[in-house]
Amino acid sequence: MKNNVAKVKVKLFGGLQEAFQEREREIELERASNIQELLDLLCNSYERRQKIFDQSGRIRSDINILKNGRNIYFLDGIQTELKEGDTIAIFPPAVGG
Amino acid sequence: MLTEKEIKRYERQVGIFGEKGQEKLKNAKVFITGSGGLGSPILMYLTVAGIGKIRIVDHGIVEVSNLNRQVLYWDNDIGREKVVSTEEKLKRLNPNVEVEIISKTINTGNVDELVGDFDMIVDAMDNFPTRYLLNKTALRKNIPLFHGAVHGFYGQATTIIPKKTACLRCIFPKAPSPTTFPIIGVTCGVIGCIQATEVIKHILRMGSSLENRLLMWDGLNSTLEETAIEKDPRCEDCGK
Repeated sequence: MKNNVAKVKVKLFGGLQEAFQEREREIELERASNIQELLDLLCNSYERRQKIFDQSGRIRSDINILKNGRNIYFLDGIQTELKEGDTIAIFPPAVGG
Repeated sequence: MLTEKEIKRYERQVGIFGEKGQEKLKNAKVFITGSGGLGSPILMYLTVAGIGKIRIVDHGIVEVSNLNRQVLYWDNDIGREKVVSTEEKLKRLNPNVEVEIISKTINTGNVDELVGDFDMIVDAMDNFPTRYLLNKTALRKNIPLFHGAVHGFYGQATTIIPKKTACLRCIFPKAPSPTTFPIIGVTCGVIGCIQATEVIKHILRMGSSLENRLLMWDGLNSTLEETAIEKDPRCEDCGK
């Protein structure tokens, strides 16, 4: 059955670590999977969903998601595909100076 | 050439990188935008390190609510132009450093002229629209941009080298909504010192910098982590 899953590493930064009470973990996904499915697994409570999605169900404008160092905004957004070994970083940017 | 007085002044750091290194610092011209929370530690440490010339742009007036973090300003500076107070303090810290102050708001019309022929840009701004302007200017002039930003106990920093690394837009494609951010001075101190360290190392060509690495400081849990970043060919600012 192991052939049917892909392990990806998720890293949370900034205030998300506090909100999710975790910093990093591996998540097993179906072989053909994408960011949407990953976020659905990760955001398994209303409080968690609120941190990532806005009221219309889109990723909040202050949340950045990088797949292997590239922002999914320039890839295929929430439909960006994932495969075994990918690293996903999720963080709200600090803005102040 | 360094004077005898300068060699004495910097002897503890000349032990790290030699008189040649100190001369490199003396010959460097650093442009910095923002003389606030991040700007304060960056400017103070670059000044005491002996950077030759620093140009500072900020249009702000010192307010009482700045004083929890903008350590260049003291109680009796309230109501003064920030750049005027900054110049005064930096000259007292190290009279060898040439400090140029400009009390202006940076915009698309003046940014090229303001940066002029300076070697690098340090981002000590408090908003993303201006940061994107600095990002584009650094790319156009082919000079490094040292990014830092803070929020509460959190902060981030990276070093952007045009054509070589991810630019600011690659990492943050959209400006977050402007808000009044909560902030404590110590976070500015940590991130500002990281930025100043990056500037000094870049001038000296020492060590490895935050190129293609986004450093994340979490002061609440005392962790410093990083995530890899990559130049994006589809980026609106630096892509093809």
